[in-house]
Amino acid sequence: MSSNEQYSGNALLELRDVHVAYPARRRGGSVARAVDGVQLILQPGEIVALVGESGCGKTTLARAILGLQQLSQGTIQFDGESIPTDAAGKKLFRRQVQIVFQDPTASLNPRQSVYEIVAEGLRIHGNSENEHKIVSAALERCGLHPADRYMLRYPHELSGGQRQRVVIAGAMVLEPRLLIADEPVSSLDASVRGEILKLLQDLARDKNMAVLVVTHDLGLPWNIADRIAVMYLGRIVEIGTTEDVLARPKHPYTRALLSVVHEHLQLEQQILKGDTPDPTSIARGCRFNPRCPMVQSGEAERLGILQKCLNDDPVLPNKQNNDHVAACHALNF
Amino acid sequence: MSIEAVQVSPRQMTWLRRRRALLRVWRELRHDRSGFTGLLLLVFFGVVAAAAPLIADRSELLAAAGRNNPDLAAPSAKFLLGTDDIGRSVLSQLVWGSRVSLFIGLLATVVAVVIGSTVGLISGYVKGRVGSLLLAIDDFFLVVPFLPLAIVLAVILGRSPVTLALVIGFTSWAGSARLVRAQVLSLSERGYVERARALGANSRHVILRHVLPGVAPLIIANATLIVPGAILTESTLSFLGFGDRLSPSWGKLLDGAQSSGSITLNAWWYYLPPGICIITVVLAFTLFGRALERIFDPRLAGR
Amino acid sequence: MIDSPVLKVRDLYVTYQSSFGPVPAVRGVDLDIALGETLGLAGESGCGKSTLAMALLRLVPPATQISGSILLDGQSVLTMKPGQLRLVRWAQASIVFQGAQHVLNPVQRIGSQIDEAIQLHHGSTSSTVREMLALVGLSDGCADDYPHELSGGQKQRVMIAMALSCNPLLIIADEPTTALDVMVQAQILQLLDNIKRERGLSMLFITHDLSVLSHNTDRVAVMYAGRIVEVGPAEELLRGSIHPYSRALAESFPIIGDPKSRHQPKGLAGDPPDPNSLPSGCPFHPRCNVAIDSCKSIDIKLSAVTKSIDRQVACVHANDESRSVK
Repeated sequence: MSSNEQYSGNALLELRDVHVAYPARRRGGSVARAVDGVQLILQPGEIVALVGESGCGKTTLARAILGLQQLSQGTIQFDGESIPTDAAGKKLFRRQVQIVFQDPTASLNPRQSVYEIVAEGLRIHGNSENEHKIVSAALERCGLHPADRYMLRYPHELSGGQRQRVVIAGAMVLEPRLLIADEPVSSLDASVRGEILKLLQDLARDKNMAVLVVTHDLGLPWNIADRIAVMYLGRIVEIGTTEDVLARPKHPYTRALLSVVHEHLQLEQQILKGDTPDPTSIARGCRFNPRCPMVQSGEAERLGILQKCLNDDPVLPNKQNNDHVAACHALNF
Repeated sequence: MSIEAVQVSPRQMTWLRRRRALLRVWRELRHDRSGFTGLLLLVFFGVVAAAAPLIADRSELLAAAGRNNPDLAAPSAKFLLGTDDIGRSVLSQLVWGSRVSLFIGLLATVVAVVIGSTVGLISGYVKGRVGSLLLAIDDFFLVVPFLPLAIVLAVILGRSPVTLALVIGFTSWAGSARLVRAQVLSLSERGYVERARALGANSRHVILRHVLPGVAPLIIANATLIVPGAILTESTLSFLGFGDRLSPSWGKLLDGAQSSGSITLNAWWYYLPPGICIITVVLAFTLFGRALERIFDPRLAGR
Repeated sequence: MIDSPVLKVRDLYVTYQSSFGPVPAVRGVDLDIALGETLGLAGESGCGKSTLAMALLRLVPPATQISGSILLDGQSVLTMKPGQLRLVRWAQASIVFQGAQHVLNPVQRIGSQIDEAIQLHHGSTSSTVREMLALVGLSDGCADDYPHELSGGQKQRVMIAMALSCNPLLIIADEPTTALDVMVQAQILQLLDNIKRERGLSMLFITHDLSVLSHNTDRVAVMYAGRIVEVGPAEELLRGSIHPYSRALAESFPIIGDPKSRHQPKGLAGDPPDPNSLPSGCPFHPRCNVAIDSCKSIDIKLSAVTKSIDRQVACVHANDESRSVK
């Protein structure tokens, strides 16, 4: 199922030690470390899901990759090169990396027709030859056929699913090599979600386009992702192929997340106490230790790693692409 | 479903859409009684101003024109609105005055709207030092007592209708800048602006394609509401004696009526008509502008 | 248990008045909730599930027409006088809404808002603010907080405390966990489950997310276009839906680890119907992959299936052997 051969060749996207910090809101407040040291490699054509709760930094990371968010530290390389800073280079880069937002209704200008929306990218990049043909093909490819019937409509005349298809078509006209999908289906009706996910999966396969799906839903990666990265408080705490991570979760956080969303693994429900963690006050040592079931149950102490958990920040082992790794002290036993 | 013809090019589509939008505005305006009344009044004054040469000869405005006429004569068949203190027809002055008043009002509005929208657009769109500086300038013009400022400027710059319009425009843009800025701030947070950025759009594209079309209706409605203010300011300045002696406006007429003592002499035909005209035009613009505002209201015009 | 249901709804129709004319939001619904039972009501936006919930307590806009019968603990809600109706709301049945932040008064302390709910219905069974906070797992200190000082999950706990303050028989939970994070959602579900069990409450749990229904409800009803299309025991219905719509809905929530859904996202073509213009016949037929010609004209009523006494389905294929439970 997971195609190992596609991991040969150069990485499409490589994040090294990426940090994004928001300045304190109030004087004397703390800095929010939204993304706090992320390593991630994306190969051409693969679908990677970035999973986490709200506030874990997954959306900030997506925006940083798009260049819509300044890094405070670290590097992002696309196709082996740093993201350009000059206007022309930036434009070229933007063309290759596109995004699909969570709320299709907000991402469409109500005053523009479907045609204008889909053609917008082409016009920005000064590619007006065959505009009509390209727009038409993109709409059809995204399941809006016959395209002529949809081109002249306005967003308010479309359903939520159709609007998301228009957004995807608008991204596809530029033939991106990386598509970032930020919660692409969470604002859609359940029965419509599958069709949109299928479209994303098919597009990735047909165009050899890499897709980074940002989501809070663990069922979504099972449906379409090749690999999963689980984020907690600005860090990737576990990464591996979808099968590995979801069937044999290593990190206690992943285990807890999985235990509350489905019963297939027959994991005992482990409901973590407390609220969604706050990026302005990240714990010393392992960032998960205040909520970690292993620390709370005394298991960490039995294993003799409690001091490490409380004092040392565990590092995600840097191994091969397909490897299943997690940042937890308990794994080194 | 198939009513929308298949063979419509996007360009035709754009025109079709604009026509449809205009038709919608027209339809809603027809049903807005006060707004439509305002529009009819404006059309009336517009026609009078345009047809001024047909109604009265310009030479009648010259001081010499009244030499052979009775001074401060009551309305009669020859002088429908009587004569002023030097024997000139009040009606002729009123008709020609509508030109000056409307011209100054409209030109001042154009000036105010251009400055106001530009400042509003930039201060709303550009964050950081430029934005805050413009905001501070805007604040200054909002709170500075504008009549003394306008008087000072009028004295320094001269008194032709054009300079008067520039002076008025220059002192009355602050409110619309505020309005435009608020709308720009809200528009630039929209998802479609972020989408355009992600597509690779520069600020020029974002402003021209997404922000301006969003604020345009607001600017139009706001402009209609600036005109009456400008006309009133012009009247005030003229009445206070800062108007242009050679091209009499309604305010100038009032000034003449006042200084000639027409009120104590009970020569109502001299001071009442310009007063009524000013009030009516101001009211008409306000009614029309409020109606446009209702029709273009961003809270209602979500689509 | 079914002999004396806490809630008994028969042939309920709710029709809104909109600028486009009457909108039939609920079109002939029968429901029973027994004492201590939790019924899950699942459906997508516009299917009428929230309208149904509000109609149960007559919390609908004035021009709305409601017909049929609603018996809450044996009393007819639709014929009640307004004064009696006010007593019934909260004291017998109370609602936990989706967006707690919009329901709580932002300038009033939490404690006094809970107290208000208690005072409004000063029954002998009412309890103190402190007890209510403890019940939903909040500390005493929260009573002095304002809503904005609480997290989303805490606010939802406050809503639950308010709903419980008059010791109702029935809780109507309308998407109580939708805006919350996975982990907080699990906390709230667990809390509702515990309270329900301790107090023997009945609950109507409304959601668009089938995945939360499997271990929180006894029975599940699936709604489509203003009608219930399938009802049955939760586990049975979610794992082996008979109606093609409930099957598709269940498939949109993949079971992690199931090879059948790996790289196989499933969904329905088309969109949920607009209540203003419902398709003819069975309203699901335009999206149905097993529709036959008669579906376009004949609307099948919800009826018991032959192989299970607990289940009812509204589909021509309901009793086909080939389409049986997996």
